[in-house]
Amino acid sequence: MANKRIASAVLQIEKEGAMRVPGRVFLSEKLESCITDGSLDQVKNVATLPGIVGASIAMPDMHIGYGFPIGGVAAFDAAAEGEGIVSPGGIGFDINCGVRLLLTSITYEQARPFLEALMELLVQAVPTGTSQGKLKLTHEELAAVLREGSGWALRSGYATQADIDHTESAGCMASAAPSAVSHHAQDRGVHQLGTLGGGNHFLEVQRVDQILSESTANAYGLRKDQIVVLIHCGSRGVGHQVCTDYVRAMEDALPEVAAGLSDKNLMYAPLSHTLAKQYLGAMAAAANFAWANRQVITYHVRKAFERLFPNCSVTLLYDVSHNIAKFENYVVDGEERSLLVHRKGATRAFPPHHPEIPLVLRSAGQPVLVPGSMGTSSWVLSGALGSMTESFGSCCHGAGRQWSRSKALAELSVNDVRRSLQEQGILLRGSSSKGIVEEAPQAYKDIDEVIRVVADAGLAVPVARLVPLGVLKG
Amino acid sequence: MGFTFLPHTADLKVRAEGHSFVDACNHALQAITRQVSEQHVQSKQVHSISLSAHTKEALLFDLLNEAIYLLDAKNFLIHNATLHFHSENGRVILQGELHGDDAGTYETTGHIKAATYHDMKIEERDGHVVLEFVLDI
Repeated sequence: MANKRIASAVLQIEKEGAMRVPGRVFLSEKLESCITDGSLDQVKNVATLPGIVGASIAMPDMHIGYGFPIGGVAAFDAAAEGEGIVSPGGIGFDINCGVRLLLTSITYEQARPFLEALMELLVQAVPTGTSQGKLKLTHEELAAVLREGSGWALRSGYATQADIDHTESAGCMASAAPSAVSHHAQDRGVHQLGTLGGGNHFLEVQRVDQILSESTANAYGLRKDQIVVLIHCGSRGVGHQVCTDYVRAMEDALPEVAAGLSDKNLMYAPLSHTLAKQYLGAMAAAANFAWANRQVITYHVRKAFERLFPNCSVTLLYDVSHNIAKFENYVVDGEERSLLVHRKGATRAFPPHHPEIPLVLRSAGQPVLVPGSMGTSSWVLSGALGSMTESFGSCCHGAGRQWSRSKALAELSVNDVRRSLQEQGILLRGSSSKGIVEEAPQAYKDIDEVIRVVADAGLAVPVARLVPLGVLKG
Repeated sequence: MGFTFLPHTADLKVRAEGHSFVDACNHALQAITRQVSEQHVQSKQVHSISLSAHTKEALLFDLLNEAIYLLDAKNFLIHNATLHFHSENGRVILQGELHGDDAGTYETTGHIKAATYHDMKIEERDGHVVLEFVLDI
């Protein structure tokens, strides 16, 4: 593979073989040395797909995924006569996995004596792992969630209008087609609303540790030593099943496509195909479930804060998806084109004044929320103009794993991880001993280096650094 | 013959072995159970399955995802499976029963989103079948 460093933060994979476009990977030399898992080959595989435009892109938090790498961005021609495609694997199993940041009116000094009590309330309020949610929906109610997303939550008393105004796409993709979601997927969703799930999902109580851009922080309502809450989860079993169902349906309906793929998780359907339209409707429905899911969790977080701090406010800064496909327009080679942008472990990062940023945040740029691992910092950035020319309006979504789970289990003990977090004053709740070790900070890349890369590349501007005080692991 | 967990950056790679395809599938299902709970799961409930696909890889993909569906939607954790495999009209078919118990009665230590095609391998040689696959966790 011919890799050429074209800037301190950009590695180019030259076009070769069946690649239709080059690869563009946002990586420093330090992070490049961490990539040993075959994910650069996956960037190359994505570059072979029909209708891909510009480059097959990956973010500095990249690691190996299924077909597409995690941290991957790929834009496909969406013109009616174009050869563009949609690939469920390019969005991932956890459709609309995403992050939201809640801002409170509480300071660290005010919260400190109550942190243990707060974490206990959150443990009670937000189910984790395989636990079912407190809500048991009928299939009719689930259909409303799939159709309306955060709108259902507003109608049902779990959201405020301000929440909707501060959510990507106002928390609802109007293209949702609940009828395209299988009975299996619906069965998985009826008792999972308001749950974190497992793996790398979490809810963290954090402190704003450092402000790097005063003006943007003011516009976002962030101030030093403020208590904030970061929530990371997705569409749970609904999204997982939608991806599974459509990978298989496309494989059965398009055997000639399946036969030509190096990895069946690259399975796709041309945008003109009925299955592409059905998948996009089902994907949007699952995305709506995810927004409603994070909104119900938000409701319970507010209740927990109100019990301990009766006069506090808990408002939503922003909710952003990092596993989704969206139709967006970009100027490519001087021509404005309609593209279907697949983001799999990548966050939208629209610059100031972009029309898809909620009006209240538009002049400051879209908030880009980048969680670190438990025990390390998370970041708030604002989208920058470079993202529109270099990465189809996209940025990184996290620190990115560098160790396998088995390596973490072999090299670390749960007591070591717990002790290390205790020494930093971080309260850890939820998850099993195995889960805690697998998600240890050492298993992830250096989040601060990831942030340096996206800032150097002009994709986003650092606004504030957040540090964890209490972690509820999924 | 049984199963082992192999290194993978973000998720869980499994190798399941058996004397036959169905024997290896049985061990693959037990690997799913082990990821979710380290306790011994009893056989108190039964779910029937009937799966059909064009290839054995697709059949394995469907079987694993059916087990994940049953866990997520029905709270059913598998103890073992009694499976029968045959081919018919160009399709491969897996039918039988999954024996297990209510997952709510066990301490769970892990979670699975989906089974994937990534790095999936089926090797069959002289009465020894090896299945490899990655679970998205």
